Amino acid sequence: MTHPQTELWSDYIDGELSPADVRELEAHLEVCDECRLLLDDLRRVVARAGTLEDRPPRADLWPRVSAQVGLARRRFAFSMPELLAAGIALMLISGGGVAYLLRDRAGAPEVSTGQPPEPVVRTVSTGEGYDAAIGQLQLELAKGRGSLDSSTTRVIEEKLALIDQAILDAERAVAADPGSEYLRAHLTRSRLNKLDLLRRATELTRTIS
Amino acid sequence: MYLLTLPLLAALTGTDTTVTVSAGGKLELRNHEGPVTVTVWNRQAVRVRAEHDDESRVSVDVSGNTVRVTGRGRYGPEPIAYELTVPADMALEIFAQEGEVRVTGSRAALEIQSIEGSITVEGGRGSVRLNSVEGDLIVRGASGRLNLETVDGDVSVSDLEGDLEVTTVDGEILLQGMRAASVEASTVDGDITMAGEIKAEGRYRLSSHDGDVTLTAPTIDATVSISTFEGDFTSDFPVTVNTAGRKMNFTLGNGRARIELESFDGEVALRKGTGR
Repeated sequence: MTHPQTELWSDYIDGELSPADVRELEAHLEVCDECRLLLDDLRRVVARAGTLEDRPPRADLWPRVSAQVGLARRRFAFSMPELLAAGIALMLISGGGVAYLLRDRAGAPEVSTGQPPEPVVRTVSTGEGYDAAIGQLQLELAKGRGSLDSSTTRVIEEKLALIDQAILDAERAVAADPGSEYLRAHLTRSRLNKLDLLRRATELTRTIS
Repeated sequence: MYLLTLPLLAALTGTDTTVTVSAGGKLELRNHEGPVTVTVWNRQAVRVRAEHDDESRVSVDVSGNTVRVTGRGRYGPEPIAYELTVPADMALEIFAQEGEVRVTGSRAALEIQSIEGSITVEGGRGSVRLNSVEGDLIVRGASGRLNLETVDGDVSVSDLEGDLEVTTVDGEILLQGMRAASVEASTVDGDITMAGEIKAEGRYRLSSHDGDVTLTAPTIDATVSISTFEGDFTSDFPVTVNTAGRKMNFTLGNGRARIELESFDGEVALRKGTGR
């Protein structure tokens, strides 16, 4: 199965495709779970951007983080404010953690053939941009930690550890079964959970202070 | 637009003041510590009752159709317990750092955040957004678009008419009496249980890392996808499964809705019934 280029989904969400292209993409969606998951994730990014409009991230943090993960190299049709506001999810998408979603998928082998796509393990298990984003957020959280009480800090640390364990579980599962579409998507979402919790925690420090 | 400020020096018994508001207004409250209870009445007015020490002060500011309630102790934040009565159509924006928030009877948009404390809402219409770090979220009888997030707590939603997006890190998600066209629920460590109607063209995605996922409905007309790594799948509905790796796909009825159930390390089940 040949998948549409990722950029097309961005244009699709933005309503910038011709009716013929829309029909073609929607026909593909009917038969491709992988692309539906991708589209769902992109839609969530846009939705999240909308919810954060009135509480923009601190100006000096997100450009730095997004630059580290190479946002500028990606050609998404979302506006820059949306990109920044939705930073976490897009950082993940851009950072290599879900590079399989963004790779040139033309001619990518179908999962059910049992032929694991060669780049998947590498892209999912590395992701320098993802690590950079995590590091940047952790640094930001450490700076603002004084504004949180000890109970809240403890809860956040415990839950980050819980998510880390989930990520580890998912990484091991992907290593054991690299061809599994579900496991790769699950790893992606587990990583997204960590970024999301770190984002919420850093936002919280700013809300309180 | 006009500005009316009522700084109220508290007596020993606290604060009790009422201000008139126009229809469709918004109330904003920020509280450092203490419970917040909101009920509704038929008057176009907001009543603010607050219990606090005699050195704390509660301010009720009316600007346009927005009412802002803030409290402050003499030397900084002090515990204040609020009881508010508002028009049912008044939107609420509440931030409670430490303390439970309870809203009853609202027919308006709600945005409520608590760091340490549960949030309970009966009603809510339009956009309902609840967010907690350390607390349960409970919503009954809402209609509209619900967005619920907690970190360490359970989430319970019943009798929802609308769409739902809910996430928790460490907690269970219980959805009952659902009449939702779109549900997206995820938790890292906890069970997810949903019971209700599956609407034609509806989309339902329930995902847990470490917990059981159960969907109960009287009838299902949907394309269904089940994914698990270490769990099993059971169904009360007769299914012919198409397996692709760790994903099972099948169609019930004409496949009009779309259902995705995932549990990395738990059981996935489809149950027939109402869940009541």
